[in-house]
Amino acid sequence: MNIALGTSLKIRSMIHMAAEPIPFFWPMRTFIHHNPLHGLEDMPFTEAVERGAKLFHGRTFLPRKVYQKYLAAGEINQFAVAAAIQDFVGNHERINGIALDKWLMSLLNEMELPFTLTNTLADAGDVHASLNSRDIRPVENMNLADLESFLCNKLLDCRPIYEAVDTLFGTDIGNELDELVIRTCLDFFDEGQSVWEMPERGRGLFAAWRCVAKRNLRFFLRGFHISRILEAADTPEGIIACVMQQLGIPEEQWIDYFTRELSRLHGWVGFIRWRSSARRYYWADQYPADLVDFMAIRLTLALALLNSRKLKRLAHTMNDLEETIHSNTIETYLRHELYGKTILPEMAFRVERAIQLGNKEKLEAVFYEYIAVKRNHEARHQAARFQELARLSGNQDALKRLSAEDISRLQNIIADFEKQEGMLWLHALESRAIGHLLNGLTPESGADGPEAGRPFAQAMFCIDTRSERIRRHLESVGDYQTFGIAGFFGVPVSFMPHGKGSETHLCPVIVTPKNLVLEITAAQYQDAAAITTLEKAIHELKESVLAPFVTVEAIGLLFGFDMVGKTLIPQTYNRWRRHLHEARPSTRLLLDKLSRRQADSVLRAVQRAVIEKAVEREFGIEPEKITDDITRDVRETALGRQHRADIFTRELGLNDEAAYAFIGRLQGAYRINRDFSHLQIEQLGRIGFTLDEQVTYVGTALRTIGLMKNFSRFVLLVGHGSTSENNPYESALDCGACGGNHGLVSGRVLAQMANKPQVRRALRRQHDIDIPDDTWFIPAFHNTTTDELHMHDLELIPPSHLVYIDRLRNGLVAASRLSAHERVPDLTPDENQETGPAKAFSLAQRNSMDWSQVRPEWGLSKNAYFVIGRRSLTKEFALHGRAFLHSYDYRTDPRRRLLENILTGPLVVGQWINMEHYFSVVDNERFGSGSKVNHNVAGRFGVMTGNISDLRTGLPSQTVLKDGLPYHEPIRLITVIEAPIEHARQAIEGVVAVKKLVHNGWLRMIVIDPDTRNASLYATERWHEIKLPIDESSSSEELFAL
Amino acid sequence: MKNLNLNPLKKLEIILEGEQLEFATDLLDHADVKGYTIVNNLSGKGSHGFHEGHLMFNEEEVLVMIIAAVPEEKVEPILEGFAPFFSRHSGVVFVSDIQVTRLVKFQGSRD
Repeated sequence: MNIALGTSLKIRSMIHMAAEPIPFFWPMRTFIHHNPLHGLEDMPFTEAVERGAKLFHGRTFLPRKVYQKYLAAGEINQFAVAAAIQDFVGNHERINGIALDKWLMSLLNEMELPFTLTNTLADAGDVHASLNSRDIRPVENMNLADLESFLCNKLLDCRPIYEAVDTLFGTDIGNELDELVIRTCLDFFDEGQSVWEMPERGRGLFAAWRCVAKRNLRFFLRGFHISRILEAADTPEGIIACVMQQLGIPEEQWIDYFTRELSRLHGWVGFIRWRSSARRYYWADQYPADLVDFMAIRLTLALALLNSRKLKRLAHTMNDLEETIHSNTIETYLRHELYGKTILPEMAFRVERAIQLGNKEKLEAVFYEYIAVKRNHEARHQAARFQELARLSGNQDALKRLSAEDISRLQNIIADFEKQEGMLWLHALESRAIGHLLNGLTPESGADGPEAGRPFAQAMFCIDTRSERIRRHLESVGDYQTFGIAGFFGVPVSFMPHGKGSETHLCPVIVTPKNLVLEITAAQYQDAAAITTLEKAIHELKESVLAPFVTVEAIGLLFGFDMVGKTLIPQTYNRWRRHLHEARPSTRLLLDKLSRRQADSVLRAVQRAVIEKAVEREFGIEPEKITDDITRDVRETALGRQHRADIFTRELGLNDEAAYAFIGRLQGAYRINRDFSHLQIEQLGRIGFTLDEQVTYVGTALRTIGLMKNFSRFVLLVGHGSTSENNPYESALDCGACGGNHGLVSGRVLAQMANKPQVRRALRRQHDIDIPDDTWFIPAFHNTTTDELHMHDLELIPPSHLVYIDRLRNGLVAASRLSAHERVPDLTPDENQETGPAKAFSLAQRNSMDWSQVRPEWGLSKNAYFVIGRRSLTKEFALHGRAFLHSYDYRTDPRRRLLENILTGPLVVGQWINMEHYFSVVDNERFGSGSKVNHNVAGRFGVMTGNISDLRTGLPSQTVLKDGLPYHEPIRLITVIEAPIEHARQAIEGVVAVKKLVHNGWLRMIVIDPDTRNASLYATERWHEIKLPIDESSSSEELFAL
Repeated sequence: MKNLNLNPLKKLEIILEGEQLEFATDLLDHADVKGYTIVNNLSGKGSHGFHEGHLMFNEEEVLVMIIAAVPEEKVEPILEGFAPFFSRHSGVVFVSDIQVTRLVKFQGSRD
């Protein structure tokens, strides 16, 4: 069946829509924190968690008993809980003699398990009878229509057909299908981990799989009719249409059906989703794949399994299932109970036997007996919960007096309450955290105070929560002023490290850098690991002075070899290995734009080198015999600037035909031709920044953090990263603002720009930023695992400054030690409670090198706050590594552009990090990645649990849990902007993306006006003014507004 | 400017969120549309309020426009393809009549 173009495009579109709720999964070598429910951010938080829970079969709040622990430890504001209960009670009818507020308080405080039983056969009358020790009235003729609609709802509501079959017949198609699909993915997406390579990969996922599947003997032996299904159409879209029709799914349900199908392996699906939209991803360019391919494979296999010899006789289309439910309701119900694993254990054997025998009367008898037993069981169970709750709230007498109708109403009210319970806890947890933050902040009036003296040094740190500690300690040891800015320092860079052929994007993933920066060195440098897979010819070229240009992607490709990627096959997650790192010669960054003449000359040099290699290879001529005249002659001919290569033909003694053929090969295989030259010039144009761009980036970075005057002699630009051994999650501990990479290069880039006299002159002229001549920007690196601070590019520092370097270095070391001292007890609680800073510092270093260490540092765990404002707001307040701090001075930003940039860039990244932690804590198995101990690296880009599983997304338990309980406190990011309310409000409302996050409650937004010292909190669709300081015991309605 | 041979085509102007750009170009590629022009960072007003085009550090949230010229018979399938998408996402498609001189530039390989 070949389908029309419109239908085919529509199917692509539907699959795109269906996949939207599934979050991206980035290869783990650059771990990107993301919100697992990012696809649902268009909905209010409350609705999205409900939908997310259903879609991913996960929990979106902590279990009640954990909140109870928080409550007992005073980490939840009990007044907020009481206020919320009062609010709830006020909105519900009263029931005779029942002190509902007490009931609900006891429920929250003292009952561990949920009160409400779902999907019960027992009604309130039965519960009432059970409470009064009466027998439950038997049912002889049950209304089967209700049962039928219950079953339809359970089995057919956009669920994959095989899931319904599994639930009714005890088969295991779903798991088998998942496993088959995962095996295909592992084969196809492998990035050099496996020795064996799947054939025909270059043709794309579906085409490659189709080739293999048709010849798969195992499939054939098991009676899978893959070929028959695949004959139906040539394209994946055609196959999808065909299978969906065979399964009998109506078209209006396709999108939802696809979503359910995709969410079963959301890790793999997220990876394919990311991969198919990634630009310049080597593996995706070589081996393309998208979700349409994936879906076609999945549906083909699903149909083949359903049609296989063993299962053929079972109902396996939508119509069959509907018919089965309708005509055999009783049997279907019993099957659903038995194989859906909800059956009462004491009846399991008899129900199973009755189903096996298939005798209709027998089935009916067992059915009525079963539902009677089940109703009794449920009624007793529910009655016991009533009695327990009444006892806990001292209201037993009132319970006895309730009628069946009262019971029913009370049951509904409590069920309603339990539905809202998660949000209630969350609000109470958040209001405690909000109160703590607001009472600790020290807003200072916006008026300019007396001019402060010039600090000894200034340092810009990443907004990362881990910078908060070291900044505080650095400020405490001397005359230091610190600032917070996103760790890519506002300069999106695509970076090509020396000796590597691939680019790394150093910026948040929501930005694609337009400028390429190359790392170059004058020293001879050989990366042995990278060159082993290279041909000799390329090796020689790489080692020439042209190396950095040759490794530029486009030029690398000109050799017709798979230069990119293969040269770079990662040894361990493509990270710079430590020993290589140490052996590296000092390097410089090429970050100025090439002029047209420079670009031409680079291109000429590369082309010349290629021609020499080609002549040498094809004619076996010694390199010294290939003169410049020959190469020029060949080059001009290949580029079409002359018709014949006479010198070349003569010098090599060739005939015209051979020369002509060689020129043809040069133009084709070696890509020396006019069109490709144009492309290469375009690529070379990506290298570096123009002077204007440099001025804009430096100016914007400084203005954003409010540093426009009073510059110190030293301005440190501190990037950060982590070091740990044997840790696939190492990148999760690196800089999120740098796309999960180390932040040092970004610091080097901005320093190099800011130290340039031309840039400073323009800043003075155009931006009113006067950087004195004696100010020097120094890049530095903050190792968050060890707390070390290292300065880089010291050889560039003017000699006049060197006398101060020791003082600076001592200050940094002192800050590192103090920071480690504060942090280490949390990491290794059993050891050395009483250690001093020096001991703590060495403990942290040991941790980073320990191969068996599953938790080298806590990373971003416990993140809770995002403060946008001047340092004066938080300076007196130890936030213990829980706050992202972004410097911002609203007085330098009258048009709010800078604030809008902070909100859309860094804040959005902060919110992703926060939500990733939130969901990884509340359900570590579904949204997190479980224990690291059972992880296996898959295909070099992800991890699985055990031998085969979905790709594990989210954070491992070791990152967010401690002794099985949350270490990270799951709350939404509490964001504070220091600015007049109107200023902040307009910035928030001005950007749709941010407005959406705030209005939909994906973060808590507070604005503090430094002049009035009033705070405004956004909740319940409006801004509420809060008086500071907050009295946490008064149940401030604004603070606790749900 | 003599002997100008003008051929009728349809112009599609598709405006959507930057985040969805790959989806849209992928769809056009599968419709065998030979080329398109992308305009980034649009500003303007729509049902969601005013969209600013100046965001520096978030490309997914700005609006983009894709302009493509296609033969008339492609218009319907392409719109059919976009239909499920626009039922859930904001954005618009404008279709208008245009004329081009070099028709060969706009004809897909399947034509």
